[in-house]
Amino acid sequence: MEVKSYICPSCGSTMQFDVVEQKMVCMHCGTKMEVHEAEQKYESVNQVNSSAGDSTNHNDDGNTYNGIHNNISNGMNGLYDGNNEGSYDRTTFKVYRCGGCGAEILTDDYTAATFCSFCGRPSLMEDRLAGALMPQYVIPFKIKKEDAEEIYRKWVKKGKFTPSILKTQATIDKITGMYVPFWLYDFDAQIYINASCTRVKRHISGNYEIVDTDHFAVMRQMEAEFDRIPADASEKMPDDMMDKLEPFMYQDMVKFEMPYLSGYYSERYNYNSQEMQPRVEKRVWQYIDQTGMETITAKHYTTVNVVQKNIQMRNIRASYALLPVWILNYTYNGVTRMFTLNGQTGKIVADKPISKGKAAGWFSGITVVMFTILMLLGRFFGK
Amino acid sequence: MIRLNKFLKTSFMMIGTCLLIFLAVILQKENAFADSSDKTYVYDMAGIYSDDEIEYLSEECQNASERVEIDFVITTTADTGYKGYVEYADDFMDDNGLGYEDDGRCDQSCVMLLLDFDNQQVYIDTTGFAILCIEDDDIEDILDDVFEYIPERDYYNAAFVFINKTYDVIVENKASYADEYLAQWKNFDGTYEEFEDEYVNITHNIFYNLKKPYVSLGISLLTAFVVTLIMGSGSKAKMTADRRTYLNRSNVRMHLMTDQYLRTTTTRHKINTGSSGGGHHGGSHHSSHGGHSHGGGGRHM
Repeated sequence: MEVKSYICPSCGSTMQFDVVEQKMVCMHCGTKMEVHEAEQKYESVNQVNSSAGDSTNHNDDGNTYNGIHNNISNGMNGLYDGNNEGSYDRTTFKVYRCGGCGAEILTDDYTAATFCSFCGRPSLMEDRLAGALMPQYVIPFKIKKEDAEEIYRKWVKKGKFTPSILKTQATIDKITGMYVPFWLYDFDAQIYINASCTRVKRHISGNYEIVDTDHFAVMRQMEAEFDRIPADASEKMPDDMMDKLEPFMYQDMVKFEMPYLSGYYSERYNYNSQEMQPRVEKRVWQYIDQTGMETITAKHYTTVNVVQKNIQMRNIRASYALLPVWILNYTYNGVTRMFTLNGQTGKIVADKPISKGKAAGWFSGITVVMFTILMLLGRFFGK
Repeated sequence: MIRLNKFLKTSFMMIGTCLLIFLAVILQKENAFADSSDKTYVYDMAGIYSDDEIEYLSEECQNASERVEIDFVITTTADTGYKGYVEYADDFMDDNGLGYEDDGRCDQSCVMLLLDFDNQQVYIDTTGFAILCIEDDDIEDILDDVFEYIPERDYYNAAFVFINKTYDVIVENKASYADEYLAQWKNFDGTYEEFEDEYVNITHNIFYNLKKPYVSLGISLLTAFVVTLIMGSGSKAKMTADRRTYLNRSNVRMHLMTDQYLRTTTTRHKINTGSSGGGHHGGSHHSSHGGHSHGGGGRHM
């Protein structure tokens, strides 16, 4: 299966998306090119390469095939059978060939951008993001790898209880940039609130306290729109962590073009927009509820008693976008954890592991020191 | 030089011995006056009691006094002169040196019932350990019992029930809390107020509590726990996007917004004036002109 790589027109090496330049930059000779230019140029360059003896088998109708491992041994031509034998197994691994070294690139059904494990060449599986599967938007990476590593290092240093294994260079080297597939939802929401509220005033007259309670009948009906609420559509990425990476700055969001992914990992969505909707609806419910209630609390009532509340919402639009995240997986105490970094804003979302030993050490240390100080204080100042 | 030392030594020894003898005599003399059978328990200056009544009351007083080590005294008067009844009672007790202890201490322990016909007041005055044993509520209770006889002018029974009720109160409070301080009181010389400040309602400064090991340990553990928690809490990531991040501000439509005033309801309730010093034992007290602490309370006849 054809693997896309963007070739430098000057030297033939691969071009990757450079964070600093926000352009495609050749890894070897430094030639720069705008993203959409690279996309246009790709078509012409690729055709040249194909006819020069690219060993991949080309199929025009764009169907996805069952890739069966055993076929490789049959020789290079027999990579794919035209027939879809057996059941369509979603966990089957697809076999692609690297455009540079000819090695097999092993990926699952969802990976859309990766690197050749042998020569490291950025390889893009275009069919995963083509046609109906094509993302509408992408926010390009704004934080380059060195900066991400530096942020990680600082984060590790901050905690007193961080186990030292996290500091090793071997761990740091594993940091990878990934475009995570997200659905961005636009919702229109309506809320109706009927509440009885009071305002209480107290004053003292002689030996008595006089309490005046004003009663109000309060009604609100408002409509509001919430735009581009993100929900990550990747099964692999933990939802709560992806949520916490928010907010992403949508000013930097651009129309999707394949070249942006060169040099990073990416995958297509596991879940479609309908499957993700309930998760977002929960958020919209909270948001409209808070927005509505805020108009009541702004009046500074003493008590607010909601008699009736009615919320309705409607999904206007769902867009498919790829958003940048730096990821580092590490294992501590047999548990694999993830350190993530918003590739645009730099926000860290990670649970820091706590070395129980270090925590216990600090706890005992503080106890002993405090105890000594307090006892001495009591001894000398206690009366 | 040596001769001088020898001279000094012998002089001191002689003076010392003389002093000892002198003291022994003095103390003996003091004790001579302490014979309780010489005490007057009833001062009937208003002349309302018969001799028999005085005798019975005195006996009751003496019994009660000896049992609880607090003197019981009944006093009646028809003329307090220019003094108010409290001042009269205080001065009367001070001037007559009323009280159980006869060791020359500053404040002695006594509880006195004063029937003041001049001011039409029944007043109970307490000194010394009696202030600790008879709290303000108790005074009221005793007066309640006494006043059952006042309207009928049965002053004998009024006094009688005073002795019995007060005795019961003292016995109960001694068992409940007062006896803990008895040993200290016996060795104490000073006003009751001083005694109270030093032994009963001791106001320690805050560092005193640190002396107790479990207090210090508790605080240390708590601090360590909190500090460790804070140090570890930096580990959790938080959600920073909220409704404001995604709200389209230009498209908020308010269809209905009414705050309709309905009515006002009013309530009033009486404020409690704070009760006197909570949480400690002993009745409230003041200082008399003689510089002694007096407690007590009264009621109009």
